[in-house]
Amino acid sequence: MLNAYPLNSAPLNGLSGGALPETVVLQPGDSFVWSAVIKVAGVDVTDLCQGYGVSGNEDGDLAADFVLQLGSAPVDLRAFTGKSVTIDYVVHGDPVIVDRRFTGQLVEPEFDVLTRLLSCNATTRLEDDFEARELAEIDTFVVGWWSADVFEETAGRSRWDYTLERMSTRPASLNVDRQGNPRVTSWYPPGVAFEFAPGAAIYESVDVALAALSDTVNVYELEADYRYSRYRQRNQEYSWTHPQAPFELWRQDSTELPDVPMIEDATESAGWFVSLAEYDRLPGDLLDLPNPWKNKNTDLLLVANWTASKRWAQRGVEQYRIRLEVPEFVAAVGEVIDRARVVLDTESDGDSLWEGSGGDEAATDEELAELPKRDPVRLEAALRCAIEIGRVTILQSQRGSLVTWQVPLAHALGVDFGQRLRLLEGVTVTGTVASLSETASFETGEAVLTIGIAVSQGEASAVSDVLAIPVQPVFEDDAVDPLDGVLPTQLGNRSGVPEYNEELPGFAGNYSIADGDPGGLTKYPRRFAVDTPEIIAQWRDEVAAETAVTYRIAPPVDQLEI
Amino acid sequence: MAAPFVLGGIDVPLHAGAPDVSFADAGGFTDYTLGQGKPVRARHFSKQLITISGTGWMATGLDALDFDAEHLLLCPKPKRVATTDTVVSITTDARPDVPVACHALIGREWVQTPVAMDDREATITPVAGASQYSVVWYPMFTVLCQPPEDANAGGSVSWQINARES
Repeated sequence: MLNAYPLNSAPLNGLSGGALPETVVLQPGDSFVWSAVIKVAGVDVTDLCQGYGVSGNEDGDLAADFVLQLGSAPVDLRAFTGKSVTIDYVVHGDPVIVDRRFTGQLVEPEFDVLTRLLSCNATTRLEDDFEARELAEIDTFVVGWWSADVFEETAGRSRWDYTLERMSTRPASLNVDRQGNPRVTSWYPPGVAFEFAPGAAIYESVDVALAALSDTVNVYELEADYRYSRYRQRNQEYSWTHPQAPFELWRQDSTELPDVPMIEDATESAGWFVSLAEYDRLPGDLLDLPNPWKNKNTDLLLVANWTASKRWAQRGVEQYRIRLEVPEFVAAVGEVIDRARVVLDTESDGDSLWEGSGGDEAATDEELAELPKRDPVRLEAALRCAIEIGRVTILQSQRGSLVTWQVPLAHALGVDFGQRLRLLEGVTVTGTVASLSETASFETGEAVLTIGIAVSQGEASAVSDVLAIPVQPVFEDDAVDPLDGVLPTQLGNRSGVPEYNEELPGFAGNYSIADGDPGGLTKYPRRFAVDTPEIIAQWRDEVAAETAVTYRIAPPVDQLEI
Repeated sequence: MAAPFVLGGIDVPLHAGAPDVSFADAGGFTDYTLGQGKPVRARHFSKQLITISGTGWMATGLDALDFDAEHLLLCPKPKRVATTDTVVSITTDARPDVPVACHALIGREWVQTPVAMDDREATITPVAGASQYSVVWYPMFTVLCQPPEDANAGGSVSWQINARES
């Protein structure tokens, strides 16, 4: 009678946070007697089976398979799909250990009419589970980062995809525990949960599969472009003063004067508008003066100081060139590069609204407030998300080495995903559980667990930079000579005045009273003209500015010594 | 002690030949060799494989049986457990028609001593000066048999029953 008991089978409880978990050392185990309990929809069907298998990876579902010998009684085969399945592994020692190995549902039974064997495949249905969840629930569960600019808008899309997108920003895996509950397990758990002492693994079962060099990404180059409309406004100050201002002086030898509409027309005819104006107007009636003054047109000006403005929209591209690298490995094996590109674009529909605003047909402040502006929150979310994906890509590919070994199932019931293991069996290796596969055969008594751990490759001395959001690049304008806004005056209808100069900006007009034969004097047209500064092409065309940063990534270090 | 070979209620007469019996383990276990050579056995079940054969003048008469069904096998040959204690468990059921016996070793002599059975637990009446007791019983199994072969040659019939404890 074999009365062995796996003394070193582990506590069944998972590890919780806090202090480093105590390492359980698994010494070479003893012989054991085992059985299993397979239940479908709560009914024990173990007697109809010849064994079972349960396998899974750290990412995704656990899957169980077993075959039911249905016997000769009639059965409703359709009723099997969707039934719950539990598998317990029982070690008959003192005490008897009953360990839940699988909880899930039958997804794809296959029936062989001839042999009346029902091949049952059961999984934990992660995808269905997450597809049915609310987005907020997924956010809370998975955490991570997400941006519609890096991925796609969520409306009408699979929430399972959304879940995986969030997971792609975390150095962690989404899997299912033995009770069927989804969970997120870290790639780098603290401490070592189990140590397999020399002789604890099955002879000649240890296999080391090193990652291929071309898969071990050590440089991740991220190009992120943020393109948006810059709403620009250029102001030009003008000042014009009548040569005989103020009023008292002007009155002694009065001239024609410009009025407000002339100033506005002159400004607007050049495509600008008056944004701010300060006028010194010809006074209205001043009857108290010794020589009373009567005037109805108070739009006539002696002095005008105003600001003309021009609005236009320019497309700007902020270019972020972010390089994540593991410098130690770049130096050792050269660059293995992975690239990604993220483009944040914005509508340019608001451009014409901005360009047409100002002046008489000014858009309301409300409309202008709704123009799409540079959105630092959106940009940061996208950059953060893309950077984290890059980091995870590097970390993932630096843990591509897989060490697998086998152990009698009863000796290592406690091994689970999200645990770090240490194996001392010809090699000294630590790593995080990445795959688990167990098979139990009732006929042969075979009950073996194949454990695969992912070994993270790093340098103990390596430094990891803080992955800060890069600073905003600055757009630079080409310099343009400033325009002198002081406008001259030319007055005609006097003897000795020069010919009318059409090109001269400012005010042109005539003295009210000629000093000679009015027919022989040069009269000027009454007009007001301004020169407007040029808005050069570099200020209008799409402009780009770049920020380049390099961050160092330090993958955690696992042992792998042969 | 007369203990005829009985399968499924059919007595196989001695004219079919004296039955030879071998007991074996039916498997149900896998041995693993651990990294430093330690063997570990993972056992799921423990069943007996019973092979009974003989050569005689006439066939066994077991063709009357449905070999797809399980039958009660009364073994014609005994098993023993040795003990120094006076309470011991026998490893199979004992056939009801043959009492369980016990021998005590005194010096070089085996003497019989009464034994009381409670299911499979044997309580031995102690014998002064005994250095060892040996409980002997004729096992009884519920078995599933391979359909047997009867070979008629040279004026005799040779047969073999391969039975597996169910």
